[in-house]
Amino acid sequence: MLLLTLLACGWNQIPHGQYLNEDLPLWDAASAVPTADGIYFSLPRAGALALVPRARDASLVDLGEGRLTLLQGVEGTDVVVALVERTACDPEDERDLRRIDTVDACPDRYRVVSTDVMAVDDGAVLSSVSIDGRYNRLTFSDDARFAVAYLDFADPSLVLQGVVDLTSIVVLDLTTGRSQLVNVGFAADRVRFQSGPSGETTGLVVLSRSEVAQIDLAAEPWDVGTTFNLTLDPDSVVVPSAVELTPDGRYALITVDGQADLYALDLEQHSINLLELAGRPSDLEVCETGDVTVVTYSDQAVVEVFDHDRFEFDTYTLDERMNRILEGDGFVVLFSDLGLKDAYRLDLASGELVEYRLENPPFDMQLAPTGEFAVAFTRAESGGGGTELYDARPGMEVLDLLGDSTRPYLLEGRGVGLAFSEGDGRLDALVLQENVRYLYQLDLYTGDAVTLDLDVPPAGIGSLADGTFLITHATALGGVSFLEPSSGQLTSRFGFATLGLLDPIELVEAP
Amino acid sequence: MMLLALSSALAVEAEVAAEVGTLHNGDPAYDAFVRGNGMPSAGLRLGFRPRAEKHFPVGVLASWQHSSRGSDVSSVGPSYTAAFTSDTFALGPKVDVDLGGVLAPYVTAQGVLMRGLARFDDDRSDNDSPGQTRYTGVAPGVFTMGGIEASSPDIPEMPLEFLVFVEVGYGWVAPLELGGLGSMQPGGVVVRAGTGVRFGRSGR
Repeated sequence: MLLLTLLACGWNQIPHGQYLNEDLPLWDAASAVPTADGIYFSLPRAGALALVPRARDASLVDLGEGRLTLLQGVEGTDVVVALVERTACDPEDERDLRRIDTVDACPDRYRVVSTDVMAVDDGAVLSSVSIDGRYNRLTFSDDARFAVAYLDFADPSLVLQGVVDLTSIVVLDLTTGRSQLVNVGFAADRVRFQSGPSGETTGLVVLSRSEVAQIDLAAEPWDVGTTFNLTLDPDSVVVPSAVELTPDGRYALITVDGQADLYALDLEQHSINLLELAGRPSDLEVCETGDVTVVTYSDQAVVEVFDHDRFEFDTYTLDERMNRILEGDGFVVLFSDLGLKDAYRLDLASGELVEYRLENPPFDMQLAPTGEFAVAFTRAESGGGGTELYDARPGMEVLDLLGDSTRPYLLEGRGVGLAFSEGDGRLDALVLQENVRYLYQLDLYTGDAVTLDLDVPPAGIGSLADGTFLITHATALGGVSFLEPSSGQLTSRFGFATLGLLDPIELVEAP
Repeated sequence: MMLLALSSALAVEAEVAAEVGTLHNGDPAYDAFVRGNGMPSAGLRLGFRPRAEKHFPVGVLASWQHSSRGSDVSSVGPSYTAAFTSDTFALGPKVDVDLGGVLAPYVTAQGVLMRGLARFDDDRSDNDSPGQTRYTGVAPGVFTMGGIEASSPDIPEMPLEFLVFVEVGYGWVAPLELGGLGSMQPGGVVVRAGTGVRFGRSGR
């Protein structure tokens, strides 16, 4: 009787008598780093790193005692790099330490924080380099050998404690474990690596306020070889807005906020060429094909292309101002997110310019991996002109880059995610719409489309190198699905965000 | 009825009681499920002792306690429910002193086996929501308690007597390993109180 009564009362119902509010979420879907081994996710509450493979259960990566603060993939590899904050407790009276064994139990004023940069592959730590202090940004060289850790003051989540050195970055050799603090100038926040003829990393260019520093990574110790001052007047401040290196690594091209000039720094001859542009640049793209740079302007309806040998400009007149550049293989696509409806394809070899007219103004555009199509998300706009239905709704347009046509689509919600998959004679685009539970899968070659209904609403999409689509779900406990585009087979993993939740972050020994 | 039959067949005193209690859980890991350090519980207690001409001071207690607490947890993004449930089985001797057939102060030391179940659900309205996650673990422990028991006066015509008791002590449980979730170690002050019936009392 007792058992029956208990069952009738919902014995197996999950109890939920209280309401708790936690500062940190269990997982960060936006931190997803897809690799061939699975998807890596940051678990902010546990301060841990989870690996969610397609064919196995999710597991934690053993990072030692510490809190994961940043997770980044290294492009072109299956390696992810984790910034792990380790905390020691150094109270005035050492007897206090007997009662303190976790980070949470140590008062803020006694905490001594250091950071480890750890390279992880297939769920195991490959190498680890320790650096003093806190850093919130990492940049890697193309060969994944070097990393630079620095403070990005534009990051709203940056919390500074204690004394902070505002003029230094940390250079790390991930293969040898060597790290070194290098003084580069005030508020350094842009880093570019120079490569040699065989692709090996040879140097580093760092932009800071009014200065550009070049560091030779082939010499020891690493030190600033040349400093370029962007102004000779100490009272004036020059804030670089973008930096790109030419493919041979000889020139650093730098645009400056509010200026219609381009600084071309010769890193070999140690000189600065000031190039006069048509206006204030809105985007700049260094193209390996053709060894040229493309510049667009938000106040001029032109696009300029200059070579890296003689710095001679070709100017193309447009109907509308373009402020965004997408680089393809031998061509660029120009579009504007300023409310204008034109888009262009510019062939860098022939100079042929093809104009596309979109139905609604785009706010985002991506190139398909084959370069045959570009897909734009468009926003609803007021006005008429006989296409009120289209104007009133968000949309998507597919630009045929081999021709000059576009295919417009109405969307149910604003486009917020787009991923491509190429293979088996297919080229699929997967579209995520705001507040819409299903995904829209479009074969760009045939125009065939399917909708994919999901039990748990999607939150983000991406794709793996093998063409599998990756879908993260809007769930608190962690959810990711792997979608095979040709068969529609869906493999899901849920609940992994609770891994390590109860494990406290313990202290490390004080240095 | 079964206890009554058992009591007669084996010539033992047998008691059964419903009890409530709480076990301290100061492990910060418990904060993932609820605020507060108590694990309130309810359960059953069985007691046996040899029937003799006079009061026999040593018996055996066996008990089961069920504790279940949970919360709706909100943070950045969607919310979820987190709950921790435990079943504690205890067995051990009890030594008491009979004070006039009505009061009996006692001490007891019991070996404990605790089964913990951590549950998470991101949609309580759906019994099959894919995000449901469970972790279980079992840990041994020891409870030592002292208490006092009050019985109803001896009425020869009655085959049973009523009893109430309250006990306080200290409970130690080994860390409960809950798979990939981590571990938790409840333990500390334990308080229990209950009421029940006893069959086949000594001296009858």
